Amino acid sequence: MNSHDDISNKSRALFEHSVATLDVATANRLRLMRRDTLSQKTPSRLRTFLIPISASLAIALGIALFLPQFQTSQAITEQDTVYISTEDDADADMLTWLADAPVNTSFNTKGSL
Amino acid sequence: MLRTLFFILCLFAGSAFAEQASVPQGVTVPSWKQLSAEQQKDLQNFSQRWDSMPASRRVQILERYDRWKKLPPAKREALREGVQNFQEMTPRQRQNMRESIRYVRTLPPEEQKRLRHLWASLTPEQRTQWLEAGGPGIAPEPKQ
Repeated sequence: MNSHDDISNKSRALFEHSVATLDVATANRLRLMRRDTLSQKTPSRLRTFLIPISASLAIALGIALFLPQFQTSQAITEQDTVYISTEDDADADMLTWLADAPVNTSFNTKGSL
Repeated sequence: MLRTLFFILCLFAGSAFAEQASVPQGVTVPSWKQLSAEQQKDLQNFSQRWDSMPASRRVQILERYDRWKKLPPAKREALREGVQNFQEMTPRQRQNMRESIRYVRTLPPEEQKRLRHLWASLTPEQRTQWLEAGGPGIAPEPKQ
């Protein structure tokens, strides 16, 4: 047995003695306080995490809704592929001329080729 | 999809005599697997034949793709409309437009600029008439 155990035993004995010699009023007060403490509902884990989980879901939903729109505007189209696949710079030029200033094709039959 | 492929083939055919872009020394032409995921997604239409294409053609497509990527959204949208406009032209109009622009490109830069400016200043109907007659550089300029 070392000095640490001595101190520990003395402390325990002192505590037991002080508890055993508590007056009735103090003991009742402590009992009531304990009962009050136990009767209070502790917040559940779910409730603790509800706010951050909700916030995360809202952000994820926002991204899921808006990201596809952003990607669509950036996505390559048939027309983009036509431009990219032009073999001749003159053809690419021609498409930029028409991009800036198109001709009237309303009288043409679309897809007449 | 078929229509796109058809137009791509038309452009290939129309530029059969075009000069092939040469591959500069030291430039490595990537195989399909070496392209980034984004490039593979955007250039999906070339996936089947990419590895069998001449290196110069692959470089050309990648150059054009880079140029397209750098375009601001508004320019990109305008270009799509330009392609759409071209697709809606009659074969004769397309042929005239192609020949006209090829000819314009042989002119001095200032003249090219002037003709393009003139083209842009016309109404779509006037442009159509000019094109029917031969187009910029070939047919007489319309009176404004």
